[in-house]
Amino acid sequence: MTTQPVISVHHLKKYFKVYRKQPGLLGSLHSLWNRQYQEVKAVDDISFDIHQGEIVGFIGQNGAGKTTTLKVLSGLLYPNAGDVQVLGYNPWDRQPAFQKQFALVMGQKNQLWWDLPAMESFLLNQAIYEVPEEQFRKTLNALMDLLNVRDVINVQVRKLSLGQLMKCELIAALLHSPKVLFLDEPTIGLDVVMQKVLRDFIKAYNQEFQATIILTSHYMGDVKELCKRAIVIDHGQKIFDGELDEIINRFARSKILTFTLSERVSLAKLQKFGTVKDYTFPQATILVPRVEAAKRAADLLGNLPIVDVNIEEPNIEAIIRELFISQKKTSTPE
Amino acid sequence: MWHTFKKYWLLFWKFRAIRAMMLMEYRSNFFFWAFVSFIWTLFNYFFFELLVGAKGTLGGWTNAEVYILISVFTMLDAFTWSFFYHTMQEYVSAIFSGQLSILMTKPIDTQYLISVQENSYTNLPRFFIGLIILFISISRAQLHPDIVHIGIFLIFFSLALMFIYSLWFVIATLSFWVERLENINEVIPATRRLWQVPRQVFTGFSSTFFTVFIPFGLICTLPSEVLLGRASTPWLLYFAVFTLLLFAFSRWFFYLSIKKYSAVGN
Repeated sequence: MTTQPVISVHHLKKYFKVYRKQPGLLGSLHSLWNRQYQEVKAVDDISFDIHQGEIVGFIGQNGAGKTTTLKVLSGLLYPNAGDVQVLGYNPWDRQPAFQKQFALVMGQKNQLWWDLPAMESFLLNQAIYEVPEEQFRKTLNALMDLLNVRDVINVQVRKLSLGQLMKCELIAALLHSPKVLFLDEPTIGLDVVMQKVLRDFIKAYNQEFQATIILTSHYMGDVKELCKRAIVIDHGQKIFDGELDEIINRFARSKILTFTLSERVSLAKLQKFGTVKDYTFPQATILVPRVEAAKRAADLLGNLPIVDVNIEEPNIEAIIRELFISQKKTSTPE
Repeated sequence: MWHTFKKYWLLFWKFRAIRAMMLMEYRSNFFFWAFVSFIWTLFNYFFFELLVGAKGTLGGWTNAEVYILISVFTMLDAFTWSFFYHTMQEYVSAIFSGQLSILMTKPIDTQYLISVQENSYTNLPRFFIGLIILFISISRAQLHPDIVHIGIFLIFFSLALMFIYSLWFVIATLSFWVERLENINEVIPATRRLWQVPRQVFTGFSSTFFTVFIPFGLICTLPSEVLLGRASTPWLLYFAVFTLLLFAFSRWFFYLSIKKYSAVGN
């Protein structure tokens, strides 16, 4: 793309000092006068650009550095090194003009006033973000309809279900129509129906407002459904940045052959064609090397009494799991 | 500038309205705490009545003058408990829980947002008790403060609040630098006994310490002396400059400290 990126991150580093306690009471006593600290590289030299309208999924295990990156981009954390620009601003300057253009939604934190109806928090945000009355009413009505919460905004927040609470959190975060949205585990703890509702909403918001969105989630469903592009982070380092489909091409080593047999064959015979994952006559599933998938399928059809065969890519969760395992093996010293 | 001031002023009252709404959600809690606060205030007056009644004076201040001092203290203390205590509790807790992240992303000065969003109305009756007894004590002492004295009194009452707020805020901000300081908010309340006695009570090193180095002894004394018409200009100037510098320091220290913020708890 030739346009200026909305988010630009170059060689970002964020380190934390963490206290390591020796085990037991003696360790505690010792720690009173002598503490050992360890530097944890939460984000270690990460660079990427994100353009307007993109939805990018941040994928990584717990403690990989996803949330830390989002917090640096939001101006909450001061980086140790690197250059970060969001909408042309240095987030750490925390200028109101910048803060009015982005929103950070954290699935584990809420900004709504717990003892009051959500509407009171919406009105407070209207004042904080200086949203004109007409725009406020228009946006609020649109968001309430999209998320179907019109009947709960006047109920005390503490009495809402988790799904309703998350919907109201999203409304509170979007009332000022932010151009950039950081979503940190927005569907955490929600049931599958509610996850789907929120995903559809995020997609609709992105399309309607051309908003740039970064999403972190432990649910691959969120990433698969919403993001064309993914950035995979492991131990603070970027290990992949590209289209989600490319992860499959680059990291999936096998394909899955599922077939139906007309006659019973021995397990040993099946094992000649690949790794048998499941065999319950008449159904069988085997893993075959990705590059040989077509040839193995042809061999199967020629040598076994097969009535139906299907070639599938392994699911993205499995590939990413494999990616992290292989990364761990390469980074672990012998 | 005017636009920003207006916005911040409106926000201040919006938070007060939110707190009032919350109060009405839990009105029994309000009535109980208002009752406790009322009893505590009466005991405080009773304690000083016993103290001054036995000796006739306290640090050279007569019974009526001490009542003026205690009334000023009662009103300041009501503010302290209504605003600062809840604000600082929430502030420290937000640092440790990571909830401060929400405030830091808002397009409002973060220190302002932290400082105005919390309050309790349970100590409001104490403020009015203090105000009524102040009027009665001024009348008993046959004082007739003019508009200039009342104006200066209001300025130094506000400066006293600013002093308490700034010092407390600096202490609470230390929470960024350590992993846990559970009782950090008990430091300022523990000094309240020092505010409610005339500065003349302090002698020797304690006088230098509590009127010059950390002027707790001036918090209530100076506004009271203004009403009594015997305020010393050098002391007034000293306290005003000290307080303004302390406030400036609290802002500088806050913006230095948030660089240490780890946004933990998430």
